[in-house]
Amino acid sequence: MGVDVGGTFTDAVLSDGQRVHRAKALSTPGDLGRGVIAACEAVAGRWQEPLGDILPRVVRFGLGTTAVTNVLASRTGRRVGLLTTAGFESLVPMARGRWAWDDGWLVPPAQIVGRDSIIGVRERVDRSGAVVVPLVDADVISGCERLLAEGAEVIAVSFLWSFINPAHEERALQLLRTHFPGVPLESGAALLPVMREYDRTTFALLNAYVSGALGGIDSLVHALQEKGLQVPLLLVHSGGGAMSAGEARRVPINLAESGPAAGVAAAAHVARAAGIDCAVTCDMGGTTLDISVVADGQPMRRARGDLMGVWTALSSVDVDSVGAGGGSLAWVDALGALRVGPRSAGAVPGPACYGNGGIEPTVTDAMLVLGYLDSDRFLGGSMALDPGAARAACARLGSRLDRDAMEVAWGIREVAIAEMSSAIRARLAERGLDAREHAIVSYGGCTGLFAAELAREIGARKVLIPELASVLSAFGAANADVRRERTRAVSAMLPCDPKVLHQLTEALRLEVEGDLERDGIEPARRSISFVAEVHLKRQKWELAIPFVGTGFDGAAQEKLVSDFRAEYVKRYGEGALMGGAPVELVALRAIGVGSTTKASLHRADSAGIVPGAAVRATRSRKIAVARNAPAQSVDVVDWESLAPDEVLRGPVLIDCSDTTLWLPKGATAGLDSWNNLVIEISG
Amino acid sequence: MSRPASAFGQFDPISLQVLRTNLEAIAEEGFRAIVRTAISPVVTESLDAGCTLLDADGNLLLGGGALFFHFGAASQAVRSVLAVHGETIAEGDIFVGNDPHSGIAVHPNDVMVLQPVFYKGDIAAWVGNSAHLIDVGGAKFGSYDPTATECYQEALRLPPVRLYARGVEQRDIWAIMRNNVRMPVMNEMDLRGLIAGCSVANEKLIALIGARGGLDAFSSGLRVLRESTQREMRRRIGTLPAGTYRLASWAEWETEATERAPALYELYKIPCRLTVGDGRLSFDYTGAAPQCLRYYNSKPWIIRSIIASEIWNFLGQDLPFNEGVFDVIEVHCPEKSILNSSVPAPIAAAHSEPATLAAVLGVGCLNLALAASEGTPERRYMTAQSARSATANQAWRIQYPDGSIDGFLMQDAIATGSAAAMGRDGNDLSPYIVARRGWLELNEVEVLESWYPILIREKRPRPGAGGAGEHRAGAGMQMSFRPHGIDKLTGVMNARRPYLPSMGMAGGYPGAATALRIHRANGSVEKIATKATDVVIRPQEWFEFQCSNGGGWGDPLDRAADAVVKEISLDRLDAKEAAETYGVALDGQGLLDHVATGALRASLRQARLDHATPARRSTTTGSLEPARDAKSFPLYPGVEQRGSVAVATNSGAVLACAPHPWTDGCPVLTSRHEAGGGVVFLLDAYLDPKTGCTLFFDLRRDGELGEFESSPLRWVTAGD
Repeated sequence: MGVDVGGTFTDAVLSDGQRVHRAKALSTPGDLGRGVIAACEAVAGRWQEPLGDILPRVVRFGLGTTAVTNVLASRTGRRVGLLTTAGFESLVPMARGRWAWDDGWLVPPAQIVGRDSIIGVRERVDRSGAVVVPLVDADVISGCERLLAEGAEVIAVSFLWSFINPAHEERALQLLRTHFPGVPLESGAALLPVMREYDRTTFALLNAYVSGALGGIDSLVHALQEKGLQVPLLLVHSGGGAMSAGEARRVPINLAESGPAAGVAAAAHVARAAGIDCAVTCDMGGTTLDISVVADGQPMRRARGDLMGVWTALSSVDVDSVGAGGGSLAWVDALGALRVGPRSAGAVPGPACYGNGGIEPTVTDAMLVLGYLDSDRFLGGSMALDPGAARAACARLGSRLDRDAMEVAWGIREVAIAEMSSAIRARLAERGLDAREHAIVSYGGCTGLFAAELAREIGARKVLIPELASVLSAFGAANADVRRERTRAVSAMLPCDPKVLHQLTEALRLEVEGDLERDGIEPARRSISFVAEVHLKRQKWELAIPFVGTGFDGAAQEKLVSDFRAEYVKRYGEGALMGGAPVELVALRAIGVGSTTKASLHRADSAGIVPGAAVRATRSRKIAVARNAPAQSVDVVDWESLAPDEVLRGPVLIDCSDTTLWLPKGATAGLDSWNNLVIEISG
Repeated sequence: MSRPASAFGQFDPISLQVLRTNLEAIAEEGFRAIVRTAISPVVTESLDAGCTLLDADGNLLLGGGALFFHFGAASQAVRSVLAVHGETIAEGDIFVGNDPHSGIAVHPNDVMVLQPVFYKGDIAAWVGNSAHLIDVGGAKFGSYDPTATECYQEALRLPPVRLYARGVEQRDIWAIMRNNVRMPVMNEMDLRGLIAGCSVANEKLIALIGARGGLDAFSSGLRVLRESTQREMRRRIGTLPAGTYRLASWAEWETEATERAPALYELYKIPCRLTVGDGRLSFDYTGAAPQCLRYYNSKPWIIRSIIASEIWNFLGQDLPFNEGVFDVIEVHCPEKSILNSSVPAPIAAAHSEPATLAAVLGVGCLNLALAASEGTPERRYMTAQSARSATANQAWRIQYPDGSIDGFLMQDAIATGSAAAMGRDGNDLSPYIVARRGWLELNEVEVLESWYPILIREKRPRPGAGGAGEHRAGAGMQMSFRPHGIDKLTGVMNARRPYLPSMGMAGGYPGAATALRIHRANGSVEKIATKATDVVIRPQEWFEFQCSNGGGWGDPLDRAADAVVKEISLDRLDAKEAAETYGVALDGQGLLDHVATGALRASLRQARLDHATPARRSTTTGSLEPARDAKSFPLYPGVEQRGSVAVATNSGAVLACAPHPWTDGCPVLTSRHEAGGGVVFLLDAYLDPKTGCTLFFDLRRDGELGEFESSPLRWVTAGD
């Protein structure tokens, strides 16, 4: 069973390896468990058994949750105080010289702690770990007293170079535990021993800030156990893997990107099963398009980046959000050009066609005006749309452009496609990847109407739309392996001392083994691999190069260097790499995977099916397929009625229970043996 | 808004936006490719690089990266390449150059790499990439040689030459470059980063042209983008009050005494006169100091590049930064002046002060026009004078025991504090407050210490009352460090504005000036000249720099007293500064004493009036009363025009009648401001005659008149 708690809906998926059922319930902010139980009840209903009868037989229960995300988004975390090296109290407020933009002004980026919640402690360690200024114990104690007096609920400690020599940080924590028993503490070096004081400190601060976010988990676990659940609850973390609830509570910030990561991990799984190794996953919801890249069957990851305005060293699946969703608003800019997003109509009032008072046209309105959406069949007919309101909104904007409602609607569609495809291209190019070698995996409410067009724009040949596209994150929660990471800074030029490498890898291996142990993974089901973060001397960005965790002699290190060079040239071109540039091993990362019992896709028996049989059309809709051209009648079929042997030839619309898919002219589609709709783009 | 006419071909609100989106994505991709493949921290950490897209003639299409002034300079670079190589330019060529005198690069370190984009045999566009290379040869490490008197001494000077010819790498050029610089490995990697950026952008542009239906359609789309941008800029400028606005300042040159030469303190005057009218902004620098023997010389196209990017921040952030913005900006720099020099003038700082000072004054003049405007939406962005030009840069050279040489620029020394704005305090550690994006990022302490043998003692916003006001300026960087694990660091200072501050607005106080010093092992503190060379720090000594900041906004005696108290608790201010500058009194527990503060502020205001020189013109005659029904227009923050009379808004005090300057009616409190070499400046505070509030500050050289002028035609002609 997999559950994904989103902002509006909680999705549940239940599978026995043969059948998969899904259901939705409303999320219950502030009371995580109620919405989860309701979704479980709903999916049990589909299964036609009481939840109490099903839960004892559940061998895997996975949960993706926005609990941590919500605390960050609403800025309702705990009050954190920071003790740091004296003289450097302003490093966190400085935010590395990064700025946010607000209506013409540069403003400081979001802050977890203000300067007045940061106190300096006399101490200093240098880059080799040598003590330059001994720790002044009294500073630690008086500093903490002051922070607590001013209302801090959690104290974070983060000193310069503590990842090389943690003695001062450990001593400070020990003093705090002695003098202030019961006060929750966080340590940068203990949580994440990597270089870059800002990234490490913000990680500790964020973790402290969200440390109350998983409060609802305990009562949820309790409620599920009362209803008969026998297995431990597994949570999906930002890296797209799972971890036990107990471990999640230790480093809750790891759950910050839980939902999106679960979706990407599931998308990668679906792609892999369908034999696709390189893909771009696209999840277009109401306000954003979330883009991620799958390479060699695995979601691409990042070791640091922006987390809701705070730059930090959170290791996660690399998901980019672009302000282009179904609710994105169209407007006219100062040049007189038509623009779409990033402002969104949100849930309230929503698109004009929802009839909740929205008067500005959105992408959804445009697609309704153009005929791609059926006003009577939206979300399976559960919500009636108002085409008149959508048309009026487009016409209103059109009067400022001297264009009619139809042309404006077409323009919104075209501009939105340009924004989205540019974002996807940028994403790939930044990593030196070729769009033509990638398929698009499409999921989320609005993607299916655009996925084939986006593929054509970027030059991709194939689009995969999983059967579970609308609840993919919930499937991901039921499907993800346990995945735990530990990272240590190395900062050595290659080749380096094999003994150091050996010791580091062994230390990392032990740590990850311990993590998996605490997650309840038996030794036989554990596998541990290593990744080296490598760059040219003094470069800012590292490339993650797989590294065999045994044998550290000259040959092994040479291979690491040559693997790095090959990857570098592949991404940036031959001209970018200078012969003889020194290569630095920045950090080592151990990745422990615990294979668990999990939901799997069911493969249909394809024997006896003859592909290519003719398609019957159940009905048709008039839609616009070109600018300023009369609407054209296009066949519409229901997903549920698709037979495994059918080949659809565009233009065709496919209505699903909760979304609509568009197959343009020149594209063909059919179900594969995993019940994915596979769209082939030609010409 | 009205739909533009179709004078320049078909205007299509849909395809225009699709084209713009695609160009933006390409420029950003090119920029990211540079940053990801270069290695010098100046590029990778501070992001001192840019990727510019230009049309076949060099007109600016769009740029990627934070340094907008690189984009306009890339236009000039393309024009220079075309002038030199013209017909011989072939597909697969890549050009390089770094000589401002040859019209390529804004200063020798900012090497420019240019690639023509060919589409079906024709030049369709250009990509121009640039990055700051840490050393490009010459007499001093870092290629800023304060002792150089000719450009020949400063750096290797490359006019536009081919780095690749028809796709073939020109090893000879690479060899010459490697042979003439101190850090050839780093330079080569950074240059290769620029090439990687060209190659990414080139490929994408070709694909885009194909997707747009060929070169003609592409070019006509570009024309529409430029002309619609230009039209909108003109419309916005048209809402500003036509008239003349003037400011002036001085670039300072300060060296220490050596065995060979005495200490120097030189001033280079930069006057700026902005004429607003006819949908244009014309900046005239007539009267600028003559071309000089210091590296302070620049070029008009560099000034224009910088000014355009700054003006865009105020008037056009929502518009594409393309040639259409340049179309409405004129810059006049007299020949043979410091702003329009020729060979052999040394030119290492052609893109920073005095060029940046010229731009800062231009923005100051624009703010005077904004202040006098009514109904211009951008009036809300008014800010005091920026310290953008007043950085504290240093280049440090390291010699390891094995003889190898390394070095670095203290890039965090560009983090001056921003000016205050109307209604808000300034930003700490960024010269910008009104801008589309931040600029050079700061370095992390662990990154700096891992790369270089230094130990940093402190890194924080500089304390003190510089840039005080009702809204205060942001603080500049304060940082100190010393050699660590090595016997010395040898530095060349390239800092600016050791004495002269950035000015406030609306009665806000001037900012703090740049300070460099060494704390010697014996406890003594030694001031370092801002252009000192061969500065040596030993392991037991600390080098400290304090960056300047912009001006404050409004009278500091009007600042919320609890905000002042909070800044005391954060060590930004001490109690003495709080009392003297802000009139804030604390009680015995260090808490705000409301009663005493009120009394102190009243007495400080009265003291100003008591010590002021009376107003230049008497305002007591009855004829100066504004007509009852006269319409009111702004003249300056806190000063308005009622009919033909200028009035202080808060007190209602009558100041002057048209066409005389409103400042004529203000009592003036003058204080001495000592600069270097015994030179004295005078700081004039213009006061509200009724309340003693500061309305305006001017800085002038002793014995000279102030240069400030704000003459909207509406005021000048009001008395007619």
